[in-house]
Amino acid sequence: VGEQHLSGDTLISRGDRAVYRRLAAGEGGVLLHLDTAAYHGVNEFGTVVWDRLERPMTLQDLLDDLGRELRDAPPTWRDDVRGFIQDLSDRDLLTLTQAPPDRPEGQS
Amino acid sequence: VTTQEPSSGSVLTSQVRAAGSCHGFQVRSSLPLDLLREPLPAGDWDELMVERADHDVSEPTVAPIREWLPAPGKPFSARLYATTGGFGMWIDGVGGYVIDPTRSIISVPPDIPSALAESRLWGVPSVLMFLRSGHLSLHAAAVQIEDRAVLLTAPGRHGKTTLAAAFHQAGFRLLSEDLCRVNTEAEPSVFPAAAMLRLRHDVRTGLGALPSTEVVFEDEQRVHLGVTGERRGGGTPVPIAAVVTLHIGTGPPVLERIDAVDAVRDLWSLSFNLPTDADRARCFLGVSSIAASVPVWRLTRALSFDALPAVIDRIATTCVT
Repeated sequence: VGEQHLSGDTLISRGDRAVYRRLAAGEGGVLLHLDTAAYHGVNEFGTVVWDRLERPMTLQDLLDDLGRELRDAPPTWRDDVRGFIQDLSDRDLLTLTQAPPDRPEGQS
Repeated sequence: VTTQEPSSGSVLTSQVRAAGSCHGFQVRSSLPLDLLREPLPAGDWDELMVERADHDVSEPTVAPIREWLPAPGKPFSARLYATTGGFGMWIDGVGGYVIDPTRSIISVPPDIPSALAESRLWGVPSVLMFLRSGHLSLHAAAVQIEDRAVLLTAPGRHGKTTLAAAFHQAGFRLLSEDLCRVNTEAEPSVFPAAAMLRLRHDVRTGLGALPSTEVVFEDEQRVHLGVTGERRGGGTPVPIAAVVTLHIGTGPPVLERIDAVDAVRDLWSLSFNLPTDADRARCFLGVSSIAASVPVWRLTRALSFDALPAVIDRIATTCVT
């Protein structure tokens, strides 16, 4: 997908070159790219998103899933998630592909 | 504990001239070693046999997997190779170390003083032996305060060894001057390294008398001191109370807690890993584990001998509570 606009059908997967470690409660987590050895910190919300991506899922499913659980989230949280996904994709820590068109109803 | 006998067998078949511990290894050696700690108590410790090669080994002609180039004040040049049985490390002016983690043997170069061979032995060659245990190698000094350890991490020329020497001078036990083997499991701990201090000549002069030390080797750059007597102590791991990252500034020392994400950034750059996915991941997870479970502090202080007592006092009274 690269520079393409993220859509609800965009399938998000963890990059196979990423190593992740959750830190202590309230301290977020850290990500390493194995090829570049570049290191990235993520905040608590970032760790929630990363945990959700244990299995590949579409952006729409991810937003729906988070929306059911988030309490007192700022009104911009959906934009924050999109920005986070795009940022990690730009760093090759997430892989974005187009979801197959024949997905069953209710799993868009 | 390794029980296989090496095919060359020189350590097992020739006279054992040294026995003790270092970096968590129960060490036996056919050459005299002056920097070992007391032997480890009975238990399931890693074993390490050190022998002197009976002839020079040719340096491989393939590309090294790591290379160290000389830096200002540190004319150290070396190359690390992956070999069939493990690793080979060639240090300019010293020779080749053959490291065999499977058989737990390190062979040091012939025809160099034992003290020089030992000083280099407890650097990268011994690290390559303990990486397979999953433990972390950190570029850090370590001192014992009460019954726990404080790691002092920094790149070269940031006063790490000087501060460690000052702790020794003030009566604290020196656990390591430059490189630490860290067990990152539930309660992180550090294994005492070689009982040595390698000080630049100007630093040794500036520090003044260092009790319970003796000169074991000296070259143009540094004097290598061995810690003597009871100050040396045993080799059992010491629980880590804190990690202090050293920074250079001006004015009175400032000691502040840093969050875990910043701590990982600092420690990651000071850890040693092999250029493989598995080892890089192991190292990163180890660093993250330390940052998640041990308080990490940032110390900014002037690099002066006069500041050392205040720095020691701040660390001793703040980081071990």
